[in-house]
Amino acid sequence: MIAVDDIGRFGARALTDAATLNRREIDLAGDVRTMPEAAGILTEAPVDLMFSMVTASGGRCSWLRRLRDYAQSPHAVTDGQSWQPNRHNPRSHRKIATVCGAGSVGGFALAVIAREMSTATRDSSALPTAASTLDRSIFLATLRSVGVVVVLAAVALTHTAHLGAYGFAQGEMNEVHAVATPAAAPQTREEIAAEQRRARGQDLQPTEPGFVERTMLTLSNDRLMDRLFDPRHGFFVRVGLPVEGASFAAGPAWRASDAGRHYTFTASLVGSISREWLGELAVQIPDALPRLGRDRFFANVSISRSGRVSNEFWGLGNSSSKDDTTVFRLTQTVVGGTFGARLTPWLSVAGTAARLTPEIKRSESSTRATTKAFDESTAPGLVGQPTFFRPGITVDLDYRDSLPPTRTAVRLDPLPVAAASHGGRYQVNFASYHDRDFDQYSFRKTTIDLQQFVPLLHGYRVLAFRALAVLSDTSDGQVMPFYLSPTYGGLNVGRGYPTFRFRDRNLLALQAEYRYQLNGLVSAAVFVDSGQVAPRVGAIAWSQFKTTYGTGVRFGASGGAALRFDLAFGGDGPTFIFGLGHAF
Amino acid sequence: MRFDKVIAGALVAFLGLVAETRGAGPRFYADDPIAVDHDRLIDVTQAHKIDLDDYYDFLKNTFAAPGDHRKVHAVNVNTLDEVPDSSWFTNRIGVRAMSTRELVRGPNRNVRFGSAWTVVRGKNRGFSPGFRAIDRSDRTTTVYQLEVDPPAHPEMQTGAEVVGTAFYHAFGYNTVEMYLAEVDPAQLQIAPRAWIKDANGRRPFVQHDLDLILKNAARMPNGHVRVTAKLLDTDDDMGRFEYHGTRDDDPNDIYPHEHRRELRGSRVFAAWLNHDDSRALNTMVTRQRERGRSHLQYHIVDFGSTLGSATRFPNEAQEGHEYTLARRPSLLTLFSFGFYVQPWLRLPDPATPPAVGRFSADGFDPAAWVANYPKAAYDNMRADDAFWAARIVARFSDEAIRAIVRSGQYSDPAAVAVLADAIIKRRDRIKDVWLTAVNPIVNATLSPAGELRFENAAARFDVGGRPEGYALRWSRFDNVTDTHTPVGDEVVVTDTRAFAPSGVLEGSDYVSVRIETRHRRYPTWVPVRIYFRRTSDGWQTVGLDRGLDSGETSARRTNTPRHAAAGGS
Repeated sequence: MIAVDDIGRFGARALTDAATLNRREIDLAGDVRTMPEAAGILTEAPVDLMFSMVTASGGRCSWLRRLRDYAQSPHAVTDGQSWQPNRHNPRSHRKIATVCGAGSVGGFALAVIAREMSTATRDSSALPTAASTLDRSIFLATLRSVGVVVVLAAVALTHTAHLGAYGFAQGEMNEVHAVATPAAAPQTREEIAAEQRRARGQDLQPTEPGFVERTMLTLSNDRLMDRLFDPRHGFFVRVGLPVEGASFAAGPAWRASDAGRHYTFTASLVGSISREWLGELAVQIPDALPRLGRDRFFANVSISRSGRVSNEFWGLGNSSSKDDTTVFRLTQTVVGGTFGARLTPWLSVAGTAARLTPEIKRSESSTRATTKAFDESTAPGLVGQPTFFRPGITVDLDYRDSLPPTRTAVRLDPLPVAAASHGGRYQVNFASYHDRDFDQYSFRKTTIDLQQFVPLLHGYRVLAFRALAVLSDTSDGQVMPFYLSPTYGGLNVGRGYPTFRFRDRNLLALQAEYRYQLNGLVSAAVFVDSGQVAPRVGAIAWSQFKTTYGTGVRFGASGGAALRFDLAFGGDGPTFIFGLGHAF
Repeated sequence: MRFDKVIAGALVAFLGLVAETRGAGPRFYADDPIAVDHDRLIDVTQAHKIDLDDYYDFLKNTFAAPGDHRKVHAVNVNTLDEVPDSSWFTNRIGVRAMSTRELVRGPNRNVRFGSAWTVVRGKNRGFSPGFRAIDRSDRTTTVYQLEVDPPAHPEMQTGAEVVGTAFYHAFGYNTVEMYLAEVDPAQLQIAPRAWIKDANGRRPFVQHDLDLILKNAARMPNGHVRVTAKLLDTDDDMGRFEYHGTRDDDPNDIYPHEHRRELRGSRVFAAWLNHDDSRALNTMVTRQRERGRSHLQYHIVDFGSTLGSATRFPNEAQEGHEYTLARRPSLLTLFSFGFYVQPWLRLPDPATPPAVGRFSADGFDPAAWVANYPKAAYDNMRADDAFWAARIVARFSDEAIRAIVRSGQYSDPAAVAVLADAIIKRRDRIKDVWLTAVNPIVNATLSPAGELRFENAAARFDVGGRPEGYALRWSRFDNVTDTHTPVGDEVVVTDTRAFAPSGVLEGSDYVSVRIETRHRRYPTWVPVRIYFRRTSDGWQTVGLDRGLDSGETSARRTNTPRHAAAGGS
């Protein structure tokens, strides 16, 4: 008795060692397999061995292995025209299994026949002896040869069965050749292109735009920028303050309007980085009396409360010292309206009436309070602020080419962000302030603002000039409040000096700017501002002018200035200015 | 030997043989030169509308330079270095004479409009004011997009749109139907369901919207408003294509756009007509259905910014001369405080009628012309691409140009004269520059008797003067191995015809002739090689190689040509 690990392998020795084991009784004893299982294993062992030999030989051949692997892979052909990778083809697999099975059975049959023939050679006692020894040897050798041939044929048949199974259908045969053998070389140029197109058609993967592109597309398609800054109705962001010298400001707003914008009601609350603020309710009617003329008359009514938390004051006069800095807080309520007429596209006249209620308070700043440093004689209007009634009239002649439709412009509040390259704007305003409470602070103010633009090199260089005069006068016994005096210094006039640096009853400012476009989106400028405040018109003298100069860069289309960055010198020190729109 | 090893060996040998032959391929195939690129083969089932954003496209092309920026040979040309017909391009004036009527008609049908329109929708995109409307006299109730002229420049934008469309159609591009029409404001109606999209979304289109458009529209003497009526195909509008890459939903779009000859060469056409706004946003892709299958068709559209028009106002002086953002001139201008003045700034303002805008031939340099911002296809334009386009430009006679300009129906004869004269002069500049950018040999034939005839495209259009002669070298050509066997000595002729040397035509299915054009003014011209294939009744011209990629040099090459920047290698 011997112990074996594998009764199947031992049983297969019936084929390989038939001569040794023939007519021997083998007693099998085991714990793992039942007797019927053991009998089955022993019966199939020779067949399995034969099949293993065949497939083992195939496995050693890498080509056949690839074929076998391919048959077992999901690749398959549908119509012989195109490849359908990663797709199971059950028909192909069934055929492969069938033919391989048939090949295996045939090979096994041949193997059994060979075995029987080999066995038969051992029973040579059935053959004649002595004289037929040579014949017997030849017979045995012939049988063995036939047996070997049969075995080899079985091997070949099994190999062929694999190949035949892979190429059973015409389309599949083509595919097999395509795997092991590329398709036949194209015969025409058109075939090359067609092959490329078919291949591309199999691998089309529509791409999605990236986040930035999707966002910008959404902004454009849904007009989100308009929605955010200038909708017909609803909440939006209001940008800018309609005040001379105001710094960058923004805040929430709400608008109601009909589809045709015949009227627009806006409620807004805006604050600036310089702690200026404005709360306003306004109604605008761009075409007030259409029956008397299309777009001829305009009107607006508003109620606003505004303020500047920290107003610096150095005292009245052109010679105020920068060391005498004080601050005060100013708020005012204005209720008023405007009614005007566009006489021509470039000439309009408007009348205004407003009730103005200013109020001066002590600022929370640590800087010395104006109320402590000054009194009524040095700062008229400091002690008490009356309510004013303010009628006025404005004549506006504007023939700059920055008006639509010639140049693009994005208007955010009334700030002029578009760029004029030629033309001019001449604006004159007469306003009268009537003190309703004290009868001490009534005055009249005349503002003359003349702007001229001279184009050079097709408008890619522009010389811009401005003369701004604010003249006031009072009747006997009246005085102009200091907080309503014209000023010099700030973001737009007297750049280089702090905002409202110089105050007095009269102002004359001259500005010149040389603007040059760098490209379609960026321009630069060199500027000079010069001006003076004075208590009387007669006191204005060129020798008293305060002059500053500087340079800047502006970002906006075609010389426009949606964003302006200036650096000014010559004032109280180098001053960096960030603003919206050109200074003028 | 094991059976399996025999099988494997045979297969390997077969694989090697196939791989070898498939990788090289013959130079010419049986169907060369192809006249039609069958790019409608695969049924397009996944097409989707590709929308592009104005600003993103500008930023991407200005700063990111997308696409393959290599001046390789155009990939979609045939073996004669010509563009086959396809869903992109149809050879028209470039290959056949076109009647004046055909030139003027362009893509349009014989449509006549009334002056009574009904607004059905606002125009939500684009710079030009307008709306979509139906002509009430049109029984088909076809919707057209109407656009107006700016008040200060009547007929400028509408004329440019119509004239530009006619030119581009004649070039061979797919365009859209574009008509001139009149709108009587008094008869304008608004359809009950007309809508427009504003900042608050979609809402009814109201009279105020119409008033705003009409307020910004030029008026004719009779009070009507002249408009362009553009036929839109909204149902099958698949959006845009870019001047680089391929459409990701079109299996037939296998040639990168930046290497398509007709897109590269369109830079020449854009320069000619000052189409500085040529960009992806002014293209269109439509889905076409034929016999139950779909394919995409590629169009170039929106010509309101051609000639002297920038749609709402005349062109700025910069347009055509400099990109919107150009680094070097910007920095020079900045640090010189504007004292650096670009050459185009010194050009005088053209004295043109309002309907023309800013358009002239003064200062026009075809090689230096640029659109508003870069694009890969334009950057990749080579001398051979430009030469192809210039030949098409050269085929427009003075009369043809005047006829097309007249189709803009300008009421001022001076506008017609100024526009036509400028276009003619710009055409001549293009001929001077691009017809001489390469050795201009074209249209070669070989008779059965062995007589070679060819054409000098530059000489044909009276450009460059007469060359001293043509040096010819013949050879037999092996199409499989791509090798030449020279036959005979070099022969120099002064005419555009010669006989092949004896013996070269026998014993080979292919022959080739190398033509070196000897011209004192153009010593750098590279010799051209032309191939002929034997047919049953003679010889077929099957190939043309301009030598820009083969390293061929002229025996007389001395200086770097001034077109090297747009040249091949």
